[in-house]
Amino acid sequence: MSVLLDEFLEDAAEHLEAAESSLLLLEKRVNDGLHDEGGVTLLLGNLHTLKGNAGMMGLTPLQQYVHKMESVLKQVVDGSLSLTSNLFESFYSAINSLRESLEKLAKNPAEALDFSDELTLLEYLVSGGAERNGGISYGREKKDDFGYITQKSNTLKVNFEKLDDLLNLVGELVIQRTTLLAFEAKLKETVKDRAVIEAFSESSQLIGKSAADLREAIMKVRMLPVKVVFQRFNRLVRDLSHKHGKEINLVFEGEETELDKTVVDEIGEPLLHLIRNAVDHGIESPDERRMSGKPPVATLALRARHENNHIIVSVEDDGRGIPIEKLKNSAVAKGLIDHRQARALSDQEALQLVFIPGFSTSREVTETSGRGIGLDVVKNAVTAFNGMIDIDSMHGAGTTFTIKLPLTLAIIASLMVEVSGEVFAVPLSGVLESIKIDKAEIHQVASGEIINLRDRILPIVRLNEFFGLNNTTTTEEMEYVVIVGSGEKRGGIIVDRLIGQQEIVIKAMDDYLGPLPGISGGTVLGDGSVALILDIGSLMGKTGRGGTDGGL
Amino acid sequence: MGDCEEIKLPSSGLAEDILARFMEKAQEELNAKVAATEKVKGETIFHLVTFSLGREEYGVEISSVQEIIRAADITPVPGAPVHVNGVINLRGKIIPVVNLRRRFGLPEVEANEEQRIIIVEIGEKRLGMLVDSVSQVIRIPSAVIEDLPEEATSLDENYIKGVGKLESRLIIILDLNRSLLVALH
Repeated sequence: MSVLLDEFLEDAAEHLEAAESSLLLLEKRVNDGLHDEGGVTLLLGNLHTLKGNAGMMGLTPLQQYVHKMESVLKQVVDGSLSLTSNLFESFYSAINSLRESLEKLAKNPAEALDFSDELTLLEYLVSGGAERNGGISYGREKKDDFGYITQKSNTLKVNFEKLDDLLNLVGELVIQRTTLLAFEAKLKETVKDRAVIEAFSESSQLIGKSAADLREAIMKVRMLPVKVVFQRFNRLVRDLSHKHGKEINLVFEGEETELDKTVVDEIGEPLLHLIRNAVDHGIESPDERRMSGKPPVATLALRARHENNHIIVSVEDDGRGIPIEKLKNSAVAKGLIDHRQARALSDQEALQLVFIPGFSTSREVTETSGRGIGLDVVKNAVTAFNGMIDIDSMHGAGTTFTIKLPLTLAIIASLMVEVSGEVFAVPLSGVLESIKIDKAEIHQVASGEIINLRDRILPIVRLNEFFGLNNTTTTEEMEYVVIVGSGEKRGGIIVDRLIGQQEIVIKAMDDYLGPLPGISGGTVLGDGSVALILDIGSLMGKTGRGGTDGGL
Repeated sequence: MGDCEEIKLPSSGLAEDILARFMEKAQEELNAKVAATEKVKGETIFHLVTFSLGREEYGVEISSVQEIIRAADITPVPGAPVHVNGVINLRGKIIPVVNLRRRFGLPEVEANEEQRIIIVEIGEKRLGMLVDSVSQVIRIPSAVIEDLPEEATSLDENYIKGVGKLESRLIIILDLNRSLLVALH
């Protein structure tokens, strides 16, 4: 595909999204009984740019269709057409078909676009209201209408990969600076002139600081407000609530909170499922709400905030909540737990049942969320990028899902450990604690080795055995154990040495290397060498089987 | 066929720089001259980076060679294919390194100063090849390159594109795709 078309598609998608937001806003205003000419002009602006770009790309049908939409809106501006709910519907569907056509173009640049059906539909709709004026008028536009053309932009679109390259270059800089440090040590031995040494170490330090600043600056460029994700749900919630006859007020809080682009890219999917779930199962119909003394319009809140180097995103509804007893019974009926276990569960523990694969509290399968995607999938998606998900629910009052994510998926805090002379990184999000224990406290059982930590039995993995690395025979009586957790699993990893905490940049491993059990990626250390990042989930999954299938 | 031009690469030191300069020069020449004059003679000139592996000398086309670096700091990757030595950091990117000796079933040698990693590009993929040493950059006309006689080609040897016959030696020209990407038996 040509670069030009690529850019057009990306641009067009953005304009459509902007148009949709304008449309949503406009609809809200109109429903509130306000006359919003500014909103229409905004929408016109979005469409106009799209039309112009389509024209430049020679996509005449697309251009004509958007032109038609524009002329309809212009009739609204000059008052010959009023904003009916029918008109809104047709514009929403117009945006959909435009989106579809963009997708088609992405797949096949030579795709012949045809909007004749849509055009007829739009024409038919307008003719009802436009009859009095004898069709569409192309009267003189007001001068104000062109304001959006001369609008200057102070943003620049940059391909994400270019930023990644920049970050890599900074990494190089940092590494080369360590060479300078080594050189400095050498200078101190051989050169007598103290002034020279001081001058050298001063500039070396300055270079180090600039490199660190540069890295931070680039990381900031990658930050996007979470708004870009949240806004996508306006339309979804609107459509879903119409379909299910529910009235929902979607509110955002903290939508200016900035997230790294890598997180923004990943968070949409789990949020989508949580929102669908809330609309489908959580929120009651207006009648049901009235009967239980609630306001008929439900509130669905999407919240985001920073907390200790993490991002907290929550989805909160004020719907019917989850009945704990029903939940337990359902789990028993499905054979996931037995009666005794069910009775022993606290309410909070019982709520965690919803994350078990194949568990769903709803009896009927619905179009919205009954597509085989359960909360277990959401949980997996969240843990896959080192996040955590929690649920809180009050029967009758609502349900809240809280997702805790690292600030960026590209950089994570890690505990660096050494095993058989190799350095490994353990993502700190999965580290519960690290302890030193007596070798005698490690017990051999049939399934492998275990330790007893504060009355909890934990399976342990010897990393050198798991990876088939050389055995480093230590004479020490103590072993270092890193206690880790992934999802519900807990366990210990035996390492030779703890090096310390460090921020590392995650890099994917080449697929040439095949599937790598126990390894989730790699990172470049300060001295330029590569360290592997442990995949705690996969290490814990293999607990008890030792190094049987992890070796070379 | 005495027109093969050579630049001797020092076994240690700034081999990379010389190679870079040569590659630039070679590219310029290729653009300006080769197409115009040498094609007329019905000959294509191959530019090869040659290296040694065991007792043999091998060559890969210079166009697929991105750079040559010292073989240091290779991080082993547990669970990776046997012929992979590990990974290295190449300007911030993590790149797998194939041990060509293992790949071709030759006995292994201890890590030493002479060893080099040749970074090659195969399509989108970038891989390192660990070789015993890099010898030179050479231009040889297609006329001296012969296909391997059929009786000498076993399944395991189809990673060979051809053999360059020079006065006193043979250069085995590798088909990178087959040498690195296709599974050998």
